[in-house]
Amino acid sequence: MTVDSRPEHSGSLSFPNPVAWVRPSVSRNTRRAVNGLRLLGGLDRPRTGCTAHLVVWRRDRATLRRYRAGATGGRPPLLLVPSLINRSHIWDLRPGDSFVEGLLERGYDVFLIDWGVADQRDAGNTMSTYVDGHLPAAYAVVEELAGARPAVLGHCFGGVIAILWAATVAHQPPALVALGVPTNWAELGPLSKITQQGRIEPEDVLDDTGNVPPRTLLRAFQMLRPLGDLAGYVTLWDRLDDRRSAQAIWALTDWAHDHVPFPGAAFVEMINRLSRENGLFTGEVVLDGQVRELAAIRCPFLNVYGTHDHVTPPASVMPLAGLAGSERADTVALQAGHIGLLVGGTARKRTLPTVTQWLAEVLAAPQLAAHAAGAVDRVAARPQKKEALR
Amino acid sequence: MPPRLTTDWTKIFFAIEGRLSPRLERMTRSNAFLDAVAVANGMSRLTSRTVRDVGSGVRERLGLPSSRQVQRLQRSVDVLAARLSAGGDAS
Repeated sequence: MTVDSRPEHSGSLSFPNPVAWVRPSVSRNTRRAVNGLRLLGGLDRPRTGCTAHLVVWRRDRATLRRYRAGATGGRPPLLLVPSLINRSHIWDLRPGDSFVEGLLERGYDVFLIDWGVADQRDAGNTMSTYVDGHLPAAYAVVEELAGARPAVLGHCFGGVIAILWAATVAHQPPALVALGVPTNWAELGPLSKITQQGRIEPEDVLDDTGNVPPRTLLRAFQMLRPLGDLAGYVTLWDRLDDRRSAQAIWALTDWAHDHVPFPGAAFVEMINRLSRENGLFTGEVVLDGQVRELAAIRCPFLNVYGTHDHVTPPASVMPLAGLAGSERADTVALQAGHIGLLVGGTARKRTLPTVTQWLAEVLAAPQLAAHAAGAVDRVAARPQKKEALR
Repeated sequence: MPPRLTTDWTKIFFAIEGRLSPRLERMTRSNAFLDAVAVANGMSRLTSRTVRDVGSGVRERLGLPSSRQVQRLQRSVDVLAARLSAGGDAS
């Protein structure tokens, strides 16, 4: 039982007046019941990934989307690279709560590579399949369609793929933004500890298809915050009387429980190269017999992390900008969690303005700067130069 | 300021959760917990593999298609489709 202090109550210990409490309580619970039944019955489930787009390229299960939504030509292109383990619609969660929508509003030509749902045909896909195969192919298509080289934004493992790709190619993107990208895997907590110390071999978690099943991924993430799911459901109950809030929580909860299989060979390689050898933190990752040095990244680089991130904690993400060889490599800490970097109020008020302001500066596009400048939350964003990290 | 007891159970939950979560998170990082997870994972794999093998064996003895046969067939079809696709691309 908790206690709180309220000035209007002068008694030593007081309970609410039953009549004054019952009426609003009945009204609120009626709204909760109605909204809850609507959601459970599927009548009011939030629609996700709604921004209009065209599929402009496809290879195996991967597709490349171009978000048009009435956009005019000549906009600077951006390529978004989602993680391999979740569905990509986190970038475009709901109308009004969409990173893609925010980028379109700020004048970008937005492309997104959707990795699709891996099946047994993808079990043999290594990290090199994505770093040297799918991503450069999609990048070339964007370049051709947009008529300019796109800047690249990667989130979580999508950021790992983008960074390793940028560390490999001579043809650098005009800018690279990493959002919540795990770098020092020794700081990742139980997820890496359990495989780093040899308790579980990566091959032990593969299923009959040769991939890591979604339920294993879900359990691994649930270990990070043991009461996280329960807290989410209590929050949903608490806000169920507000239809919009309930829809927002439902959409996010649904996404967070909807993992996709992780290609087995890529998983084994990820554990060996990134977790056990801690390759990103040492600055060198060997993939497909080729050394990828982070120091080879020469383009302007922005590393963004959330101070409340449970999945990729700040200690794991912070060193990234210092490892890139870019002349301009900045680090920004935002008061956000791992997913809060892409959705919700934090994304709208902090991540989007911070990222687009930075992009406008490095891409030297004054029309973009004008869009972004008004919205930057300079209090929340604390840019640090690479030198400050070293 | 005098304290007031809250009747809102969600506040009570979050107060408890706030105190309990850091302890649980520390526990999930402990060696004992990670050892237990590794053992549970091994047992679970062994059990499910045994059940699946026995089930497949019984079905195959009865002349019915088993899941492992279907998977083998599916793999062959996928390889064939990939070869055909590669051949189509080359031509």
